[in-house]
Amino acid sequence: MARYFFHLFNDEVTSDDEGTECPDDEAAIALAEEEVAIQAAESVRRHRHMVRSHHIVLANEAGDTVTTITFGDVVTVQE
Amino acid sequence: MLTQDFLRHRRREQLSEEELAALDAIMSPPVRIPKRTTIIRAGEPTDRSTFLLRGFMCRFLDAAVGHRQILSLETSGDFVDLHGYPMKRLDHDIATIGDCEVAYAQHDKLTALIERYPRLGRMLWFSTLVDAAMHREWIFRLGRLDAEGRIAHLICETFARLCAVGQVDDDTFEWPLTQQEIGEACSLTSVHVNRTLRTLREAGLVEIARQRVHVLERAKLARMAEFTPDYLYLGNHDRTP
Repeated sequence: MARYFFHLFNDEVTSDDEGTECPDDEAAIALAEEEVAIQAAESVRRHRHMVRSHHIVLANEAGDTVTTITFGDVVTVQE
Repeated sequence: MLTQDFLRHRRREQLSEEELAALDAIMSPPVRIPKRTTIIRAGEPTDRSTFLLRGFMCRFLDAAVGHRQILSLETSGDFVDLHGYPMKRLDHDIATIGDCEVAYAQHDKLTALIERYPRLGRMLWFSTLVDAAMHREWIFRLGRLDAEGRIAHLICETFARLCAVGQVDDDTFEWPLTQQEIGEACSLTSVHVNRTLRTLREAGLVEIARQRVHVLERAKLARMAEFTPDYLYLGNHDRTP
């Protein structure tokens, strides 16, 4: 298991100092997508809107960015 | 005395010296268990109950996918699986969170104890009913409070319980939970916990750092959590028959 860090950039920056263990990059990315969806939903619940550019930066133990996932990446709006 | 924290500040005074000594006498010598060790699994037959001398444990259920759900925290003085005595197996797992020290009470010795001291038996029953009251409160917390309220509630409850066993100094107590474990107890994801802790910190209510919680605004935290400690049955006001 490797440790991954999920830094949240929405109306403010919440850096993750503790991290979460995941088996590999793929699992960490899936978890990041889930976290983004939950934060987008929380924004809709609280503010009745969400900002597409808000995002989570997924970093590995070395501090390198694995990927960046925006709220817009995981949420679609249908008519 | 090994069991000095049993029902401490919670009707312990209602037990006689003889009853307290008899309870202490059935305990095994202390055993240390490292952090994050599962000590009992659901379904396993059990012939002893675990008394927590020091540290934090949790009861939990594993989800098929994703994280476990922590059902309760256990702190010093808790008989973590006394319900396993009449039930003979558990329907959930129990694990340490930080390093722990425990003593075991063999079930045959518990039987002899409560047959000789029926009042002590009723007090042991009372202690498991307090556990049930906490489970009801946790259902309320998870069902009715938002993220801030849930974490605030968990902190208020732990504060009150640790106060009773003399483990709060200057509004600060030991807190070995990771943000993931707070999430497992509050049905929140790690990112959500991290974000919520930041909100609580910026509101000046609580500071969590280096495995310690420092409560800055207890009354405000309790209001946010809709927390009143009645369900913990602390103090010595009511008398168990």
